[in-house]
Amino acid sequence: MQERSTDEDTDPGAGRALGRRQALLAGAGGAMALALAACGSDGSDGDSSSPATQGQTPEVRGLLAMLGRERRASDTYQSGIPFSDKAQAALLQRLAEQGTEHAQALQELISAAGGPTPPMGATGQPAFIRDAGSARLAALAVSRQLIGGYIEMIPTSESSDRRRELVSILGNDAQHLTLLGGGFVIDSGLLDG
Amino acid sequence: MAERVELTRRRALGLAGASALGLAGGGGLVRALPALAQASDSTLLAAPLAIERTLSIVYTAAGKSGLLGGPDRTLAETLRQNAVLAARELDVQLGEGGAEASQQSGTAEIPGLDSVRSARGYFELALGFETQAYLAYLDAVGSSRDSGTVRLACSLAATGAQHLAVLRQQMGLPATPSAFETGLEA
Repeated sequence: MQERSTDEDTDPGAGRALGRRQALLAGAGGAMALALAACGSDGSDGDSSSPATQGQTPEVRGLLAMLGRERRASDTYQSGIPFSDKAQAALLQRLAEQGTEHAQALQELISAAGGPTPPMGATGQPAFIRDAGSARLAALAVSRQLIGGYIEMIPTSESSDRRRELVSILGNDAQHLTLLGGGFVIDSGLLDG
Repeated sequence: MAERVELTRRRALGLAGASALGLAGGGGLVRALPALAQASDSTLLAAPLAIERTLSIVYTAAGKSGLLGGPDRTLAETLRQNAVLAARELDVQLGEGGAEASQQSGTAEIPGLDSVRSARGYFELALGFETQAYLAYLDAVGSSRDSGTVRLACSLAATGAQHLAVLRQQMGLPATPSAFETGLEA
């Protein structure tokens, strides 16, 4: 079972709830993985009410939100690996690794934009993965969220170099969507973000 | 990161210029160049519009060549439809920006198309144009200050990156050789 649960650090109540849920899932035979989504309350999701984003520029808030989504995507890809056949597992492993590289680049961009050092950790909505099919669906969902998020936030960036850098990440995330069988951005309703 | 950004920037600027020169024989691109000189934000999209139109012709020619098997034909047709959609979106944006859209070029005006003799040859030719389109979108994203232009260029760059991945895959190359699609790997 893959898990990355740091929400206990910031929200003990949520941690207990997840703990109970994990125990129930494990008790059900361990046939279900809990892929913890990083798009949550640790501040890296751009939540304007969180301490990490208060007082930040819209661009920094957008970058923090994308960092949260990239972490969530990597966690989701990683969580699907044990339930996948060899080919899908290899693909998800590669996507998770590239997502981690995106997150590292975003941290650098946040610093360059005058933002805070983002807190590590993953919290938020869990994605339930119990087989190869649900692993793929969860991966497709986070992939689409990434693409839509970048299309929304890139035009808000004031730096041309940052915009270029972000498009290179967006391009790779869009490629992930295609490799997962999710089609093309232009005909998937994502064109408008 | 700085090196990656600089590399991407230089690549975009360098290849965008090179592609304009290298494809000067293509009627669509030649007609697009005066529009570029107008230097308005929306006219940054004139170059990718010409390339998308070129791509639709390349994919059409590939589909009609008789050299492509069923799956290859299906792929070429999907990519052609995407190129047509992209051109349509660009046309709308350019119209709103007041720029004169370039006209459709003909098969004979596309360098290299007449000499293609294999399915792989078509996909290699397409990969070159897709790379130029991607770099042109990257340049538009970096250079434009108009949020509508940037947004559209982002969306079409994402689709272009997907095309690069499937074409690489088609040719037995790694689909996503890097976590950052710079167009360098094509």
